Amino acid sequence: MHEGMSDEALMLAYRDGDAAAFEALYRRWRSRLYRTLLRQCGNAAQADELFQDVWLKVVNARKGYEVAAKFSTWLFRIAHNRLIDHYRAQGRAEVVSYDDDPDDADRIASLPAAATAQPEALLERKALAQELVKHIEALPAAQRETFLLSEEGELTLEEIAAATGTSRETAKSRLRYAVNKLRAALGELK
Amino acid sequence: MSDDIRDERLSRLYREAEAAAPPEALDRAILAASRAALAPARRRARWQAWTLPMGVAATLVLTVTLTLLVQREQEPPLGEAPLPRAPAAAPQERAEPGAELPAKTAAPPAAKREAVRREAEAPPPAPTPAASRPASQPPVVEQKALPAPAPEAVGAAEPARPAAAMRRQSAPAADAVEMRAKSAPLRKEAAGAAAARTPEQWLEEIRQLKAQGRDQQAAEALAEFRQAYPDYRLPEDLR
Repeated sequence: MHEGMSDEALMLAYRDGDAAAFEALYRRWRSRLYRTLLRQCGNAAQADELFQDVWLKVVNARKGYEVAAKFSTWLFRIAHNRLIDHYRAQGRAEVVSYDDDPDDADRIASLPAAATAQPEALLERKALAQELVKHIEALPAAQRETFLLSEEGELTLEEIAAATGTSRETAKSRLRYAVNKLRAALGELK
Repeated sequence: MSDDIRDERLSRLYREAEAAAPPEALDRAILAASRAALAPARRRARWQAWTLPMGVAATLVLTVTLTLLVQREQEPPLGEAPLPRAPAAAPQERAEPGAELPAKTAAPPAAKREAVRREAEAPPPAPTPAASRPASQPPVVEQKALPAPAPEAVGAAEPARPAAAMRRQSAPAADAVEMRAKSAPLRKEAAGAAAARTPEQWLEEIRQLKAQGRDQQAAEALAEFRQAYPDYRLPEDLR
């Protein structure tokens, strides 16, 4: 019944009292949002908490929901804000990296060191994929988030900028740094 | 999705990584919360539809009940003529020791029952004490019977009367019953008459006794009056 409906239509239906519409919407986005949060905070328990908070915010915001952007952009925007709160509460350095100027050329120098793993030794792609995840988790938070929004949220640069409250150019720069870094880490994929 | 910056090989490899997913318990909790968020709104709307009619109905029932109660309290019990309220008890009488409290609280119902019983037995009350009394009827009998019914009548008409006065009427209940048994049907008649008599009417009768030279009877009647109305301020001529 809800399969052919867009995310936005489902959310509007939920706003108007259709509980099944929310369930369909949740099934579509649960894994991608969860993986984004898990990669961002690196802790399953914290990811669970953040994940629940984000969806509860969606539930509580249903009454005032209007289609002003793609649902996924709105969803990941909520996740972004919740992550910022989480980082601040944790006193983690990721907040600093969000506040930094991403276009700063010195930023490249501040990226984590190249992975010490030897990709060529990882014969199976599954293991190689897990290695990639580790490198993603090692990225600075802003770059990691941009990469995940691109991969999991399938957002465009404009949508990433809207979700993270930055400009398109900033989002583009962050994504470029992230991709280059991961390519460097997994040298044989270059 | 993100223009030309994306690396397809990187994306493919990323998707081959172990797919992490939220625990099922978390799924259930979130879906339950999403349903719960809708449920109260529906329930509240249904309830709100009944709020106004229920409120009006409750107000009507309350108003009618209170009106009936007030009317019932204003009616004199068993055709008894309405009596003026007895004077308020003196403060020192109100502040008597707590040991007497049970007697005070038990007294009104007993006095009331007794009054009701005697009202049922007694013939209709005499209209006015002196004016309508036949010349042949000895006024002594009537006067002797006066004190006993008066307190009972007051007690019956007024459940919330001062505790001291009620105690005085009901405590020597055995004596009063005995005395009443001795003074036969005439006493019952007098009781009916006294029940419909105000303190002022009683005092007027005492004055008439005095005027007729029956000082002994007048003194007895006055003493009984004082017993029945201990706080009543007597007129100068009867002090």
